[in-house]
Amino acid sequence: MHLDEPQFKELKRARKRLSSEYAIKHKYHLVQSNFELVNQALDALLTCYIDQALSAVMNEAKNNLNAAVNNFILSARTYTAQLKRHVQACIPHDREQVNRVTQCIETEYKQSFTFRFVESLYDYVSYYGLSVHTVQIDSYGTAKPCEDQRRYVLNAFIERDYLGGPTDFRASVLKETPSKVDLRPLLDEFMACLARIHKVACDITQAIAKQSLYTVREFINVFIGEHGHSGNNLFVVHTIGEGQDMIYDQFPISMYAEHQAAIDEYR
Amino acid sequence: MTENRQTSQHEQDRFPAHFDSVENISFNHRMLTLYLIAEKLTHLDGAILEVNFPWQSGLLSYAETNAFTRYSNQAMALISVLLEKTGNSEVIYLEVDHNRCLYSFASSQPQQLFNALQHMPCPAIFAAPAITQVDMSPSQYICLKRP
Repeated sequence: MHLDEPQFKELKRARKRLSSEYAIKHKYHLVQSNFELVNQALDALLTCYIDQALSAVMNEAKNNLNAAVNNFILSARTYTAQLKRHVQACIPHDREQVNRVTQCIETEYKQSFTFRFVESLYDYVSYYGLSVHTVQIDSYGTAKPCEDQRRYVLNAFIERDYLGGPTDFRASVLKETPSKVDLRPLLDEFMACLARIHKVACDITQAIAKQSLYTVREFINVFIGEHGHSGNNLFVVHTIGEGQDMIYDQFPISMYAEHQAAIDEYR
Repeated sequence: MTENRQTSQHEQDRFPAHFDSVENISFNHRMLTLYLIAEKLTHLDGAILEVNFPWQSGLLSYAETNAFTRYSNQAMALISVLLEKTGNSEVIYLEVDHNRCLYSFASSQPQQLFNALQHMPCPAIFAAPAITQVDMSPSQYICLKRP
């Protein structure tokens, strides 16, 4: 199907907005998934402990926990660092709205030690990697001899002393860090901070994303009208001649307009 | 995470039933503590005797994997043996680390307990213990120890 220049530009603009909006949501889902993986790794470590697993098995479970925590920290920073850029790509002319996102992140940073600490952990993780320093397992016995049920609770801690001095960790945050930071409530609270930021970003981009989706779908419908089907995956291609090496620009559109998750988001 | 674990007849609970446990596992440090549960503790009075058993020299090595679990299990199993030999007393606290095992007994007759401990043979995994009396009620003692 042939497109003229204004149609191409319109599609390209719509796709850019959709892909930016998709990136915001995709990166948020990455953080959520990593959060789940941390919880699963904590659960697996506790199961190893209860089962009195061999040291090698325990070490593997600890390595999995460390990997999950590292991935969480990295994905969280990827989200917060790129969010403003993605929102800006959706609404390039509305500076005020873009500033709302920046202000929201700044507010979380000012108000929450958890947010400051996790943000600071990114630099530390990038440089040193991060290990959960201590694991504490509590178990609770029972007064009745016939009851043979014991309840177990596992907590993992990051300890200030192991983080090093002000040259290793953001000094202002290190100063306010308690001697032990409990991982589970830390990540719970951080997810709450992130959810507030994410809501602000989504509220800003929702209308323009819907409009862009409508534009892309309209073009897809025209394509279906011409060819009788939408194909598996539609791409818009800008060529400057014949042959593969003459492609000047190319981008997908079906993946945003017909992606099931995207459809669910805008239902 | 919280997990309730129903132990089957074949699967023995690692910890004595009437104790809560706290175990800390760090890079080069591991410590297990047992606390007699509150329901049992309230019925106890009398004095506290701390019996501090150092491990036999070289027994508990960092190099040997699983050694801590193995020897701490033995230390817990000794609670019932110690109670059998010391009679009218109760172990209310146990602390195990790489250096020693500290058993804290509550007894209304501390002198008798002291004599019984003096006369019993030292368990093979331990070197000779140091015994100290602590002037505190069992509840106060656990309250102080428990984080």
